[in-house]
Amino acid sequence: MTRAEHKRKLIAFIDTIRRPDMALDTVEEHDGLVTSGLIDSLALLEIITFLEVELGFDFSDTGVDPDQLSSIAEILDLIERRSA
Amino acid sequence: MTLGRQFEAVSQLHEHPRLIELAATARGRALVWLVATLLLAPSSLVYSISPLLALVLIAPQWRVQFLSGGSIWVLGRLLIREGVSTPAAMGGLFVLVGVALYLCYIAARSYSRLPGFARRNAQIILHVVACAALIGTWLLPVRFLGDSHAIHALRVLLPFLVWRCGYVLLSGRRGSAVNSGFLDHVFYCLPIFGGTPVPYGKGYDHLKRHRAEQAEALARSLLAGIKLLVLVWLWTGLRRAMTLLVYGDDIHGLGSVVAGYALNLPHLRELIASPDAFRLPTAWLSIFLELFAVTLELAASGHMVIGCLRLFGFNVFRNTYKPLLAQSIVDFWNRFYYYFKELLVEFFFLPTYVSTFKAHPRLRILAATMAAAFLGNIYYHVLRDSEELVNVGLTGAWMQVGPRCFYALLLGLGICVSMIREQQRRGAATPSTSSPLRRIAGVWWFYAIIHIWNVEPAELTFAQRTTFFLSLFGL
Repeated sequence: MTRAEHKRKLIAFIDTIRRPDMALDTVEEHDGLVTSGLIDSLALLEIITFLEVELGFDFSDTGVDPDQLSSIAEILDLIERRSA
Repeated sequence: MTLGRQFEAVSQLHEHPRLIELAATARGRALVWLVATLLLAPSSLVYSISPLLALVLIAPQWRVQFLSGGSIWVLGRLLIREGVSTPAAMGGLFVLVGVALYLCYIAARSYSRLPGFARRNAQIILHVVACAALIGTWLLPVRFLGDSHAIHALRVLLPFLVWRCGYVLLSGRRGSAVNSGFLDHVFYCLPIFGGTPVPYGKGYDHLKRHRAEQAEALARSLLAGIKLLVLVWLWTGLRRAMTLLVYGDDIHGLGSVVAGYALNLPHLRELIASPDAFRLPTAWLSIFLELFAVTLELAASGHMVIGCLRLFGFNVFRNTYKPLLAQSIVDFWNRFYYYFKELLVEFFFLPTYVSTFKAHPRLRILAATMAAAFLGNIYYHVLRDSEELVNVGLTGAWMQVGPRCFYALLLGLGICVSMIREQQRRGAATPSTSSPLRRIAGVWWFYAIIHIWNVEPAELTFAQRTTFFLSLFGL
């Protein structure tokens, strides 16, 4: 799957966990998802679950760096690194 | 300009374009240094921060080297404070700490080449070694380890360094330490900007991410640092006003001046010690005021550390960010003591979350939350207070740890329920109908109540605390 396809899928998922009072298009790819207020810090757990279920990632061997889930760009970078 | 806009302009001074432009110039940086020095003047930190800040502002590209130089000063000051005086003991501890940090750094840099068992269990091995060393300071004869002051210093240093070394190893696990230098890790392991056993600013990965490289980013960081130091003054002043006017305690001889105006309310510790001596409304008012006072103290001390870190060009998050406005228990926990929460999340919550109960979402959250807020919380405090706990013996230690265990249990359960509720709320078709004020009040109530089992002094027994809790409801 290409980066663009991953991005489309990720954005569709984030749309389901974002705060209802925040529009998805107000956040750029490099903006912090939590710091911009789009999602709360708890939603990071759901992003972890999304990566585990959708992409088959197993973080039990490498651990999770919350900073690597801080923006759409960071998550896509993480996906690329782990898929390489 | 309306009052609201004026307040926003002052509170967001670090985002003001003209101030940012000024702080990016040599004259502006000199001004920042002067203001920072004046704001730090009442604290002993000024003697170390002010000269180092001058160097960092002149040559920010060398900040890691300057701060690492400051680390030597930090270690020396800590050893002297703990009474280490002989050159042999001092030199021995310097070498010991240096070797320990270097070994952690080497392990992090060569993480992918470590044996599989070590890679999978690096944090556990680190803590087993640290705990073994700590136990060794009690079991081995004094003559084997140097003098008693050196042993005491070691008992202070181990809980301080172990979490920071944990962050060094985490950067190894994440692969980011490969291209790092030794000094990139030294300056946060022995931080000149202050702190407690909790690593404010976390470790290499977090600091690198928030390191201001360009002049404009550095200017923003400097202004954000100044803003926090101003808040230190405000919150410290407010806390002292509380001490004088609410509790009627004396500060700098001012107690007698304001004696006629003081409310003379009891501290929570006094209420717990003798609950029958006070009326019920006084007791309820006092537990909420205690939460307010604790928040002010934590905000002031955290802002001092993060303010200095920002002045050195690491624009990291605050330690305390408006927790009293939090509308859920989990949100308060996130805002109240951010770097302690991050420690528990990174070393306990996430490792448990990614490796257990994947097919059972709620059980997964429960296990991870209890691993962090309960087990991790207790372990952190037992490690930190180990010397005191050993000195009071097994029964005394249990008397002290018992109430904290109960506090941590309530905290863990509260956070877990709050997390699950927040997840449900996010997935709900209609937003919550309860008012924000009601939610805030609920959060205050929860934290004020559980603090009964956490408040100092540790000598207050579980029975005393529980009796006081029941007395709040007329029982």
